[in-house]
Amino acid sequence: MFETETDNETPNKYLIYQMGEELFASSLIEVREVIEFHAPKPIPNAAPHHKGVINIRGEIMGVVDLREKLGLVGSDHPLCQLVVVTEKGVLAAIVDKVHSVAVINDSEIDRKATAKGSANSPFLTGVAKHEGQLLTLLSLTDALA
Amino acid sequence: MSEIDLSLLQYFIQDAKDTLLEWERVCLRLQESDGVAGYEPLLRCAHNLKGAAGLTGLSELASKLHLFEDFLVKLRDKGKAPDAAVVTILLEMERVLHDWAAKLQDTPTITIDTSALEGRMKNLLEAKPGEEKARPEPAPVAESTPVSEPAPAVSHSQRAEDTVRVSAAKLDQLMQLVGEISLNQSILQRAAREGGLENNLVRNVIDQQSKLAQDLQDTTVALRLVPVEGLFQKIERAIRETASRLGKQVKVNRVGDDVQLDKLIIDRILDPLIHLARNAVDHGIETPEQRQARNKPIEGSVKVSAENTASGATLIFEDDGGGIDPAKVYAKAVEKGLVNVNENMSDIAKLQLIFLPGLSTAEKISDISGRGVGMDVVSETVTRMGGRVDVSSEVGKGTRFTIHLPTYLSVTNALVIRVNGCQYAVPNQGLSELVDLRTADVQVAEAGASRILSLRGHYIPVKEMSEFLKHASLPQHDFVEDNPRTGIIVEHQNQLLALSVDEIVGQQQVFVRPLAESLAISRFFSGSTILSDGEPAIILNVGEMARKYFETKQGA
Repeated sequence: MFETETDNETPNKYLIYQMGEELFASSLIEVREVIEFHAPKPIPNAAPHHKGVINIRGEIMGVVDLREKLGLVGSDHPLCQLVVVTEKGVLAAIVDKVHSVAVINDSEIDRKATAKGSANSPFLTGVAKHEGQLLTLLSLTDALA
Repeated sequence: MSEIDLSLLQYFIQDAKDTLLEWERVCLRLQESDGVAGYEPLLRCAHNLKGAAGLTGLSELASKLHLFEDFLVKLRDKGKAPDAAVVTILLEMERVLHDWAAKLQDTPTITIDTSALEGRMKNLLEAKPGEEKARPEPAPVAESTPVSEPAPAVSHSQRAEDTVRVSAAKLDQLMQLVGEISLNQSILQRAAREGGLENNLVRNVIDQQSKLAQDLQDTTVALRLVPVEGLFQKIERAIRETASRLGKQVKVNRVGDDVQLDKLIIDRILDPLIHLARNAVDHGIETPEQRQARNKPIEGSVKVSAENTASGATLIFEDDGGGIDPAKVYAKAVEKGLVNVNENMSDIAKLQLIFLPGLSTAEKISDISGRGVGMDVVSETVTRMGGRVDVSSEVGKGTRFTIHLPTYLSVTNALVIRVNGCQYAVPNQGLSELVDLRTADVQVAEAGASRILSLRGHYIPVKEMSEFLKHASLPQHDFVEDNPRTGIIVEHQNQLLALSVDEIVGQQQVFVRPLAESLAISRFFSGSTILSDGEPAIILNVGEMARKYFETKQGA
């Protein structure tokens, strides 16, 4: 568990995490914190990817299975949730695991390409080749909106 | 002995509370250099309270107040400046009177034994000037001030004129009514939109009405706000008293007295903050000798501040004492089996362990900090209200607690129920009755699945609540005839509906939090809360379920 620091955030810093077999990268600014997986309490009348609510230090937040939302098949035992502040309030997005925080330069990013395997979706903003790995760039605030 | 006038008693108790708050405020500001003039506001307080007590027929209390007043007069006439010893006694008087006033509520005839205090008063008056000099600070010669008749209590009567006292219950009622207006407003607006009302005049009125409803709601909510000044005053007093008992010197710095918070929050946060205050002095601030050895000013300092933030208010509690050693906290937590050994735990994370129940870093339990309220209660109280406590500390430099609080708090009594395996809270005001459906007269109507409850001559349709609460992923279990079931009777426009639930879990007070937009997915949800087991739950609007049921039925 760690909180992202606001002081030294730059647009170039990305959080790298895994859903299914794929690696994703999202701008660190979008992620308020990374928490270990909290099992959500289901709520009725919700969309299938909306898994319920959790209580994080007294704050009640909705939980979205980001893998399901993007049509990916993830692990049965995901390890992390990314806490993201969206227009509709604070949400916790389920991802399989978090790898690292890395600086990705614009030169490493191809905005036109999408990695094969993942659905072609408007939330995917490009592909980055970083230290020999292929990362799909994802806008979390758009994906969760 | 005169009769106690019960009709006046309530007014007296309120009056006494106000007057004693003023007393406390004056005492905390009282300095030796004020000289005997410093006693004047207290004389007015004692005099007014004595008069009010006499009028109410509380003769015992009135005679005690006469004694206190007499003591003040003697201090004044002897030219005794209000030094630390005097202030301690004056504050002790306030405590006795406060207890007394509080107990009047239940036992109007109560009397409190004040002989110990009276003894100390007598000793102080009889003390030779030489003995007084034993105090740490030398007493400067008090300025002689012309002694005048007690002036009328200006501040007090003014306060009475521009404020009105309203009972919290009436405010709650008002809040509820305003809430209903807002709900109706949204229904009206939707109806106007969907019904295609072409009339501009009606449109304008609806728009205006909507703005008024919003203003009304904002104004009503703001009625509950009070400044944190009173809270801070009590904290300051706790710090001073603890310091003087432990022989430590502590300076209190208050910032942001005028920041406003919901009275409910202030009431609930008081005990935890007093705990923090005592802890800061007891375990935080070092003794004068230790401070000298560490090259720190002899006088320790505690800063209590409040500021408004975007999401509410932040209270900061900061001392310049010895700080908390994260390694010690961690070692203690591991020793007590509260956490698993984790080599990688950061100092920040280790420090947060002080909020775990059952962990006390104090070597011994003293009568100062060991009051049953622990750090875990501080944290729990704050989080249950929707706030958060952060702690940071630097060994040798000091500790800082940052408490984030919402500005408003809405509390309601609610029934906790279980439907389809999930827990929900249903505010009591939405329910009219609970019926045990196993023993009640329930018949299956000819039409098929629909069931009718016969209750005292009324025929009430029975509906499974789970039909209103569909789950995409959970299996919907069907109604089984002999399941133990309870029916919640809900009224909608004089029609009754019985909603059958799996189980009534219990009854509890819940803090209502507004739903984030991402969770406002159903008209049957009115808010969210954290139940006493720490689990989050949705607050249901069962009235909406009844409305939906009867509207669909009419439509069919």
